[in-house]
Amino acid sequence: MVQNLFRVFLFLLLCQGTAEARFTISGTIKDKASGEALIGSVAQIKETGQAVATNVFGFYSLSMQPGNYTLSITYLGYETVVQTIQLDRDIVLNIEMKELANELKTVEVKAEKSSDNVKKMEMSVAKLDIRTIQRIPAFLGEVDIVRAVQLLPGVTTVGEGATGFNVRGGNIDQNLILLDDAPVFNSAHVFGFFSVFNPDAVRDVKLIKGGIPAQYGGRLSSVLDVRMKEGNSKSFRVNSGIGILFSRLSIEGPIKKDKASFIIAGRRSYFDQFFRFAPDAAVRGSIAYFYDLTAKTNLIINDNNRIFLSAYSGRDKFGFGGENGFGWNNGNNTVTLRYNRVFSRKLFSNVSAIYSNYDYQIGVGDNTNGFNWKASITNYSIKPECTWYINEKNQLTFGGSSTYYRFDPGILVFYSAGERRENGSENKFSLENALYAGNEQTLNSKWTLQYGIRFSHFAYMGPGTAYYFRDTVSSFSVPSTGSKYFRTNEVIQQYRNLEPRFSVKYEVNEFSSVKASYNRMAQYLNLISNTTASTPFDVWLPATNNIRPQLANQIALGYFRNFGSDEMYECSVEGYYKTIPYIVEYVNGANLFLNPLIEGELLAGQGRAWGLEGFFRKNSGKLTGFISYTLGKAETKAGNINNGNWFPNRFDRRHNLNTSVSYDIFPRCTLSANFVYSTGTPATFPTNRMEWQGFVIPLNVDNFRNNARIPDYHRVDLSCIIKLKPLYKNRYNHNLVVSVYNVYGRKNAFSIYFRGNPDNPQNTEAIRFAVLGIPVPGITYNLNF
Amino acid sequence: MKRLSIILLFLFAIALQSCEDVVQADIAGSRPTLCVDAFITNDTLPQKIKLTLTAPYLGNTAAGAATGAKITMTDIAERVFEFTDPDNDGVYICNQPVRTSDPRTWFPIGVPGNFYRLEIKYANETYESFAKMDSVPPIDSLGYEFEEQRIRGNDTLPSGYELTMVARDIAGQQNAYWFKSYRNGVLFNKPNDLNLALNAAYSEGSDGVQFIAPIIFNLSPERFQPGDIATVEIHSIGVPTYVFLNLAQNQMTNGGLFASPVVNCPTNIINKDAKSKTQVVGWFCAASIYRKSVTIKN
Repeated sequence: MVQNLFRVFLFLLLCQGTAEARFTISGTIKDKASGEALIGSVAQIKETGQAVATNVFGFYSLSMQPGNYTLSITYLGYETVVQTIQLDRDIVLNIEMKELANELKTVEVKAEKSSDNVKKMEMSVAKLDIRTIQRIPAFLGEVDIVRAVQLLPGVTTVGEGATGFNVRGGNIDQNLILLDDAPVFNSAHVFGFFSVFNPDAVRDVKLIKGGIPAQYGGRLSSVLDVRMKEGNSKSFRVNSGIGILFSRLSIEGPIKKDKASFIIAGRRSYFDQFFRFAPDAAVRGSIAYFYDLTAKTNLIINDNNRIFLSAYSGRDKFGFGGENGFGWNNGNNTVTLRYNRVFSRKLFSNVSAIYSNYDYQIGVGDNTNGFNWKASITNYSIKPECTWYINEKNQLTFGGSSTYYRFDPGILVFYSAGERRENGSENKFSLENALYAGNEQTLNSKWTLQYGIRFSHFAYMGPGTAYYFRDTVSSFSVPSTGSKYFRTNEVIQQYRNLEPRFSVKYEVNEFSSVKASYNRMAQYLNLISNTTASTPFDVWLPATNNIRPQLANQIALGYFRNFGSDEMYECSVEGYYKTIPYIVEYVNGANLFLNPLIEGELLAGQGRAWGLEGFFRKNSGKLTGFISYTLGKAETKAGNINNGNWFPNRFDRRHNLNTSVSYDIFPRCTLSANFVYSTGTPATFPTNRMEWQGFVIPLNVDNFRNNARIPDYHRVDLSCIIKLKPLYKNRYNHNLVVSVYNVYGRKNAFSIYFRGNPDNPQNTEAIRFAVLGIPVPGITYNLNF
Repeated sequence: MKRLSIILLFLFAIALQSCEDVVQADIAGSRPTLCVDAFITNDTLPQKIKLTLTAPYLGNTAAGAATGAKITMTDIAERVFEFTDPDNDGVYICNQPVRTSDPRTWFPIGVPGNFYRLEIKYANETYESFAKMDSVPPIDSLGYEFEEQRIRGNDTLPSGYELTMVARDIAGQQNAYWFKSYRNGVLFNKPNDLNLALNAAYSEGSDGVQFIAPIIFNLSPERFQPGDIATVEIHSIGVPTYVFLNLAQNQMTNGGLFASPVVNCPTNIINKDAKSKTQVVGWFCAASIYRKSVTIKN
């Protein structure tokens, strides 16, 4: 199998060989004002139609026979650059592009090409540039990346303010969230109302749901690739904002003009200041805030060598005042060091060294009476990668990665009357390695292929104790039947997976294309969570001798079409089908907290999901916006759960419709609106009540998991961005964002739960829990200079 | 963890005005099922076992009585106890102490360390269940402390007395306890009052120390006033019953952002005919009790 795949791969590569003399034109494409690299801008040779998109560092390379050519560079929202070149040697051409003035954008739309979705190889991909995100009405007027991602087709969330997002029926831990290549293990502040990404420091956001290229791996459902700004290399800039909940400040500028720059951006909430007015002393003494700090610097050594260093640190802190002083905090830290080297005009390389950590701590009391619980996941990784622009038909990307993980699932230390006890799971260690190669091959003007393979290897290692369980299918937790201690770096269990990736594009004509893809993904980490929304205290666990790696196969087929003058409308329809031969499910009533035998609470399951996604976007004019619709189904089958039958999983939503539109009503005023509708998520409702020792306990007599659904979700948000008159010789730009979230105050059910009436527990009730039952107004003032 | 998520939610509620209201829910597929409520103690009171038929969840009708069953319990010494239902109301009673011809061997049904087998014959099916009665530690002291009026959640707690207790988990084995507290003989028995411990806290690692502060706080769901008689009982319920009750409590007090899915509590009642499709739910527990009372004075 492996050999055959490699043979095909080599064959496809070799049959492209040509003996003619060729020269290369290469370089980086940047924003003229800020010096930021423009990711995904398209360099095209008019005469041959040959085109290449810049990589994440803004690098492009094109090889052709000698001759005179017209090179055009296009990027959404920028003036197209057209340059004639005489190619009689290898040329380095670095280009700076000028952003379209806003006034120009609304009347003059010519320069904006939106043909990307038709022309580019990728499918099941959604790119959001920060300007689009800024126009979407946001909760409390605060621009948020993950909340914007939740509006895209195929993406759902379990409810208002829940952590993360679900892609094509997958769990939140199936999304690889990368901040400058560093994995982010918890993307949420305040449970999920805000994401950890400071929009002032983000340059580019890309969500890949299907046809995932070989360089990405380790998660089943999607990749959210967030790239940070590099910092303005021309002049100093300050972005700031004051909102109801928090304030933002970012400073960027050159360290040495055009050679080195930096950006540092911070946010801090002041939510806890309102506690002062609370009637309860315990609340007055409480703390609740979050902060994050994002920083990046880069140094251009010369045309061929460049270094980047980026870091993120954020934390949520809550402390309950009063006698028991309960509190917790949780946060992520990441550091990425990257080195870019252009070996030749055709070979671009990057090496990243990455550190990422997520930890939380919960505690109450002191060393006489109290407890303290800490848990974390830490990883160190190194990722070399090369892109070889072989010829005009082939672009080969190859590389590898090696990641060492340390899981600390939590040790509870507690004190009772001064006596100390400890409980919890020991640390777990593992090593994940991958090697990959992928090629994008243009067969002719109609057909383009992308194919690749990723070989991944995972070792679960000592020091630590491996537990063994009888291999029984059950719906309740099973006891351990033995354990064995392993020394440091001794392999307890290892897994290997071969993950083929394949995509094909057929360009029907200039305005439409058909694309198809297949990918297989392996996932060696699991976020252990069994609640409606993931909590900050859920633990990450590696694949072990009991938990096999999760696997998914996905095929997708899509039709992409642009129309209207200058292709101002883009639309696409995609269908997907996923099978998940192995997925982690939970036994009924699983005990997931501080349980050394947690693996006995897990079950091997299988999953399947299919759906149809439609997307329609208008890119220019006074009215812009998009409509996305998903018809989806996602099911699981595991052990005896549901008597061994398929059942809808927790993220299954049949219909999901999201629209977001903006209208430039006046030159200085933009009105925006969102409408969101989705089918309620599945839930298990009890059918009967059993009475035991005076308690009324819910009973689901046929034991059907997810036998009902909570009510449908819908919501309208509005916002108005008012650009205020610039101050001080137009140097200070400022605006005011006024928004209302959940305009008609719908009490959208987050969950329906069942309980005895608190005053009379013998009366059982169904309770709708709505996180927000009221319209939430917000106002933010932003100042940039 | 339950308490933790309640506090979590409380903070959240202040911040975001979350709301909860009673709604109609469409629940299909309810079916009456035999439910066994068997909790045997070493008390000298008559021991009772209640058999009911489960009612629809939102019907708010009490469970129907399951009458006409034949219940016998045997212990490891092969003593046989008959439970009968003289009132035909589904409550089956066994009067004790057990009388033998020699009064010196009179003893209650419940003896710590003893094993019990329960057999129920009902509607042409035979069910059985097993339980062990664990030992219980003593309460070294039971006291009370005055507390000022305080706001807790949406309620105002009046000033009054809260109980203090010093007691210690039995060292060297996994123990589970149910703390019951009474005010003037009335048991605090709301789902939130269910005060359980695994060893001295909520986990296996808390062996042999004093019961931790949250367990002591939870002895006073409401405050006591001068003149009240406060009684605290420790029931040694055993680990399987702890698992059952812990899950039952989660289910009864579920809700909010981090709600756990509705799942059925396990049952330790087994249909002797493994092929039978007739379901049974409920639990059989044997617990020994340590009891202490105090009269609240100014």
